[in-house]
This record gives sequence, C-alpha cells and structure tokens, in this order.
Amino acid sequence: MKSGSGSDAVTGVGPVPTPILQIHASRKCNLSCTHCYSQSGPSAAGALAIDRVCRLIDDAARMGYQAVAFSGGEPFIYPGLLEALRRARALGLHTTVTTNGTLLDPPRLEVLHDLVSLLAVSVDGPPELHNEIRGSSSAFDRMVAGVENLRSAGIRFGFIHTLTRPSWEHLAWLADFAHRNGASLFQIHPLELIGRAEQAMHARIPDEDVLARAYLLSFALVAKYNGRMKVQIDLVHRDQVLRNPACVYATDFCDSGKRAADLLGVVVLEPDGSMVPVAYGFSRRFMICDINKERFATAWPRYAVTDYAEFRRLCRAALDKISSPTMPQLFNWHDLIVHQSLS
Amino acid sequence: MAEGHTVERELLEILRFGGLNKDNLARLVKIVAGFSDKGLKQIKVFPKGIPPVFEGLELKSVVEASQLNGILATILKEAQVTSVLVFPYGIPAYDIAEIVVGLGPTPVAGAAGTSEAAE
Repeated sequence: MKSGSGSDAVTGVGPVPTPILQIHASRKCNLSCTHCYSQSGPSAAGALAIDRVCRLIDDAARMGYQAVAFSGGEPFIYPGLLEALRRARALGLHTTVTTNGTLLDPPRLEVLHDLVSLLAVSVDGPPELHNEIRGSSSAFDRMVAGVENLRSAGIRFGFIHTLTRPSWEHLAWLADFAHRNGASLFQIHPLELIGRAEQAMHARIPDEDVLARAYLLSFALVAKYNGRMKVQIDLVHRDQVLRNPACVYATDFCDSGKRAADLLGVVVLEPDGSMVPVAYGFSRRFMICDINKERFATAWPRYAVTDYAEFRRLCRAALDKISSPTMPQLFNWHDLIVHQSLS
Repeated sequence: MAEGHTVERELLEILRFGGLNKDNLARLVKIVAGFSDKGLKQIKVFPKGIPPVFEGLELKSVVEASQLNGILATILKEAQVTSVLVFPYGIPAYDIAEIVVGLGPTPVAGAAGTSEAAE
C-alpha cells in the first residue's frame, strides 16, 4: 500500500489505484535470500503450467485487472515468463517483473524490451549488506552488471529495497545509488516476517522507531528526486486509514454489478496454483480457487457470493485493531492483513 | 550547508544522533502524515538551526491557494507547531503558496558531539 510520501492518492475500494494480478509461478531461484517471503531457492521444485497462467491472465483482463506483476522465485528462471508477458501485453495490460538482477544478460533483455512496463530490481543495501542477505558474495556486482545491461537495453526500471533495522541508515545512499544508475523508481518496502524471514530475520525487523525514521527520510528523498525519480515507501499512517476505511476494504459494500477488480484490488497467484486476495501468504481460508482445478473466472461468482463477505469482515476486524491506541502508528497494511488472516 | 552534506543527510544525522525521543518522533510522523493526507506534496523536512546545533525541525511544502485555509486550520491545531510562514506566489492573485512550518523544540542534546564523532 502506498503511503502519503508523495505517492498518488488512493481512490476507490482497496489500497491500490490500479487493480493488479500478482503472479508467483515458481519458487525456483538462483539465490536463497534470508528474507525471502516465498522461501525460494535453487532446490525449490515445480512451476505452474504456462497454459494455466495464460488462461488466468485472460480471465483477469476480462474481470477488470489492468496490470500483471511477475515475481517468484526468480521470474527469469520460470520457462513461461516470456509467453505470459506477451499474453499480458497483447491484452493491453501493464506489466512489471521483480528480479534479483543477476540474470539480466543482453540477449534476455533484447526480447523483453516491448514486453515490460517496468523492471524492479531488488537491492538490500550497500554491497556488504546486500551480499549478506542474498547469501552470495557476488550478488551485488552481478546485480550492478545486470542494471548496466538494462540501461543499455533502454528498459525502464526501478529498485525495490527491503527495509530492515540495519538498512534504514543507508536509505540516502540507496536512493542516490538508484538515481545514479538511472532508475525511475526507488521503492522502500518494510521487511515482512513471513517465509524464510520468519526464522532468520527476527532481529532485523524494523521496529516503530526505525519505521518512523525511514518514513521521515522518505519525504526528504521524495522532495530531492522530484521529477527525476519517484520515491515510494510502503507504509501508511494509522490516521490515514481511520480517515479513509474504504482504502482497507473496511466499509459496507454492495457487490451488485461489480467486477472482481472493483471488489479486490489485488489478487495473488501462488506457486502451488492457489489464488488468494491481497498478498502472498494470505490464509487459505480465503482462497478464491486453485487454477490447477478451476478457472478464476468460473470461481469468482461463487466466491463473490459466499466468501467475499468473510474477507470484508476480516478487514473490518483489522480496522478495529488499527484503531486501538496500542497499535503502531505506521504499518504496512498488506503485512498486517496477512497476519490477521492467519490468526 | 557543509560541503558533501545535503538536506537528507543532515536530516539523517539528526534522526540518528539528534536525540529525538520516541514521543517526539511519533508526533513528528503524525504531523507529516497529516499534512500529506491533506494534499501537501513535496514535504521537505529540514533540521532547523545552524549545524551542529539543531533547534528543531522545519517542514516546507507548496500548496494551491484553494487548499491554504484548510491546511492552515490543520497545522494550527498541532501543539508542536511554533511558527508558520506563508509565501504567496502569483500576480495579481496568488495561485500557490509556500508554507514553512516550524516544529519543536525537539530535544537535541548531544547532537554536536555525536555528529562530530560520526564524521
């Protein structure tokens, strides 16, 4: 969820202005990062069949979704990535790919040029911190080499940084690094304690103090790079949510005549074929369908009648929690609602 | 501003070593979030005072004329606000205005020594 640090105003139902389908088609990755929410790595097996992924994209486009975001695992290892991107672009959808940046060689980028609206490259800090989290002494250098290839290929890209307790003090450096390398976006995303991070990163989760400092710094960075690079921090203030509960699905609703994209701004495809609302790791109690067994378009009418109301009740319960004076004032709503769904 | 230093690096110094306690930090975040929600864009947060002695923080932003009254009403409700300056731009009638809001004083004991130690 975007915050108020210079990002676009949130409109409509849900915390994103553009309805988006997130695709995690595989957990295969050439790295094994300590903070990985999907526990991806070289030994992860399996990938979703490309025909099913393409059918999902077709359905999502008909149901009002306007963007597709590919992640994983490492999307460039997924064999069906190009076909999926072509399908999405043919349908007029905005496409993004989030990558660790180590596999961005010129031949690969040449075919990507007209298929990707934005490539997001992960960066965890200055070289030493980045390599430590990525579990590879060469990850940073390989990422920089990949970014140079990106620039040469003329593909629009940004950096996405996972904010941790030790990394907040490097935000100015990171923003400068992003801008010097030609990024059009620098996105700051607080570490979420799911997946591998839940076991390995407890000591590095940013506390309220760190989130506050990062939040304030982000405003300075937004102003500094205004017109040259967008800076975004994925935090929202409690007061903003309480003033606009519709942005977290916590108001009464009428689903009559509404498309899926009007009711759920983000839907997520997980590597096992599960479609869930809002964010990776959402409780399976709220699963929309398994695309290995049923199409999204077929499952949605049933979901809208039976389970969607339960989802909205969950969000209202989350709002009650947010309004408590003991609740931290800054948070990532997607992280909060995932944990709420699992409790 | 010292060579090699920028606004965000000065701000980083005060956030790291400026002695902002938890309550002041929370109040500052609440104010900035509120301003952002009211439509203030490009909110710049500056340390106030001559380094290395910081006296507080300043927020600067640009607002449209139509927003000014509403935003001033919000700003003036905040107890931490110590000063508000408005600079209108536009002839003959202003269409935008720069607002400079002083906040503080924030406790900055030790900022001088710790900033130098951090160099």
